[in-house]
Amino acid sequence: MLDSRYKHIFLLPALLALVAIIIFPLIYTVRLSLSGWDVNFPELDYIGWDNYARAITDGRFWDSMGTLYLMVLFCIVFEYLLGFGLALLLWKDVRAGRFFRVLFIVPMCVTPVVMAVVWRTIFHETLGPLNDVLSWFGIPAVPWLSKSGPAFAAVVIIDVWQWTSFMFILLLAGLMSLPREPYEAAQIDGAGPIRTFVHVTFPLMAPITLGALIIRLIESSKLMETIYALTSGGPGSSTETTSYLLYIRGLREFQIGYTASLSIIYLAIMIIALTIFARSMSRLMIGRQGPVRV
Amino acid sequence: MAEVVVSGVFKRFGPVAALEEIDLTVHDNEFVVLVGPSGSGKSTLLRIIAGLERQSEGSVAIDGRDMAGIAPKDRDVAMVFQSHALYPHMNVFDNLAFNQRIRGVDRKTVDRKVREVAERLEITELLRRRPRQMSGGQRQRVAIGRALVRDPRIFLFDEPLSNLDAELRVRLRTVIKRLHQEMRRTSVYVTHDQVEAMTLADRVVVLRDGRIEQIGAPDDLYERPVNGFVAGFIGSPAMNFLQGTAAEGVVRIGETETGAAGAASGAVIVGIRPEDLLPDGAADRGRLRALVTLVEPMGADTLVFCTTDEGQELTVRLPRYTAVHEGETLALGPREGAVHLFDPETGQRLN
Repeated sequence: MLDSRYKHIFLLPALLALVAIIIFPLIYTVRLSLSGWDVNFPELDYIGWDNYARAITDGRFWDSMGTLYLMVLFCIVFEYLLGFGLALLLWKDVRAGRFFRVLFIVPMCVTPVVMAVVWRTIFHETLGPLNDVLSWFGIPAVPWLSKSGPAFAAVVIIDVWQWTSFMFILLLAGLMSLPREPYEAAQIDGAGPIRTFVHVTFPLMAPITLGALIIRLIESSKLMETIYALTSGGPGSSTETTSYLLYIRGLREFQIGYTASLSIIYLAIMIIALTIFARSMSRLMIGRQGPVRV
Repeated sequence: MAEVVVSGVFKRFGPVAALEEIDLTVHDNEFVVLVGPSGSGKSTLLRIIAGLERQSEGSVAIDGRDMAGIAPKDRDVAMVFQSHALYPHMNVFDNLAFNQRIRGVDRKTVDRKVREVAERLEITELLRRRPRQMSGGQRQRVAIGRALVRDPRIFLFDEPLSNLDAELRVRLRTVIKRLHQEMRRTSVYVTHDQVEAMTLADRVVVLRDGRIEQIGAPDDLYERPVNGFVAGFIGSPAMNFLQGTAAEGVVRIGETETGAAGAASGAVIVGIRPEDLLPDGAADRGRLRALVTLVEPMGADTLVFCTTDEGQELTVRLPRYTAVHEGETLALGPREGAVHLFDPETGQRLN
């Protein structure tokens, strides 16, 4: 038998990498958030909880949080509905499915900034093709990027365009892995397509759906590149999400200490919100007992 | 009343034939078990009867009515699946009631039926639970209950006990058998477990490679298997097969001779069940010398594995408390009239 110390030695490099990549930056951010480091005083001094006190009264920060969650809500609902709908359509027909499955991955593979630039052209109020198309149906030009409502919608549209395929692929994989027998039982019981969906497909898909929603929730909470390239948070601050505000505070205004405190608050809220979301969704969709045991 | 007549059924999946020329009549109130190794087509046949699969050729009739084009739900059959296939988000009560509700049966009747069935299967205290809050055995009870509530003409079982542990399997087997005795409903049951087949069936259908090898009562199959495959498949531990020669009613296995009815002559395969090999003194005539290699005491009896002088493997079932040890040599003789002879080429029975 090998000395058990060896295993710890072999684990050490991985542990060091973990410390360097995750733990050290996190602790350092906490330390930074207690300092007044900014462009004028680039020093790691100690100012106590001042930054946090300031953050609590920072209306723009909380507004950005509200904008973010509203945006995320819209994005995820549309992505889920569209993605599940498409997955159900392509579930049975495998031949066409293979083609569409590849086609649908394309948006996911494109860099968000590149896509945002393309979309900015599409959304352009006077030169963009979208308003042109709308005008064929007699719809007056929409000020996509210069009015807060349409700008908000534009961000949601891009996110939905880009990430519906992710939902689609995850949910399609889930559908294809469902057992055959419950469907046959439903067939013998005489359940029609709607009852079969409600009583078989949907409940069997609940764990996968939950996973997909949580992944998307985490991902879309970091919404930043699209906004950076498309609206810069504007008009006004109507599309300013938290990550974008952090970018402005930290990398444009160089309020390093303050930004650190904002990001710690953001992180804490994210963890709490995600936990509550995951718990309540799993209770709602799967029932009190947590994940399905087979 | 429900009689199932399967005639001339073929099923092909592309170039692969899953079933070939199946003719089978399941009589009213009969419990028929389809048994065979995996890939024998037994589940496919069941699914064709249920209407979940369509045959390539031939017909299925229930009570004289051709089932072509009739949906599973309109065949008045209920099916119990291997994986229970309960609706995961419904509690037991709703699972049991689901079909009746779809059919628009009034609430009071549904309630009464569900409670009756729950009582009968001793799952009343589980009615509020969901499938995943129950053990495998409980779930399968509920799945059986779901079929009972339907009160169908025909019960179909697709390996319902295969996912359960040995003890539960035996218990639920008894439950199924008792239910059938009480309700006397036509049942078709698929299993790969020949013990289940033997214990449950009025008649057993042995399938291999999509063909019916033999249909008969369990005892018939055990005592007069029509060929080597059925002989080897039915019975546990399996029948011993030895090479021998037959001439004028006498079978020679190596140095040993035994009487066997039938007009076989030339090389034969001699089949002897483990319990029909008797040690010293008990056998009528002829002796097979065999070296004991392994002894497995089973409680009720003892299994002895040995090798004959000619190097053929034998399994012998001896009464319990038989003092036999590895390394001993036994002199074995087949019980009178318990020798099965098979053609070495075709495997067909010769005596």
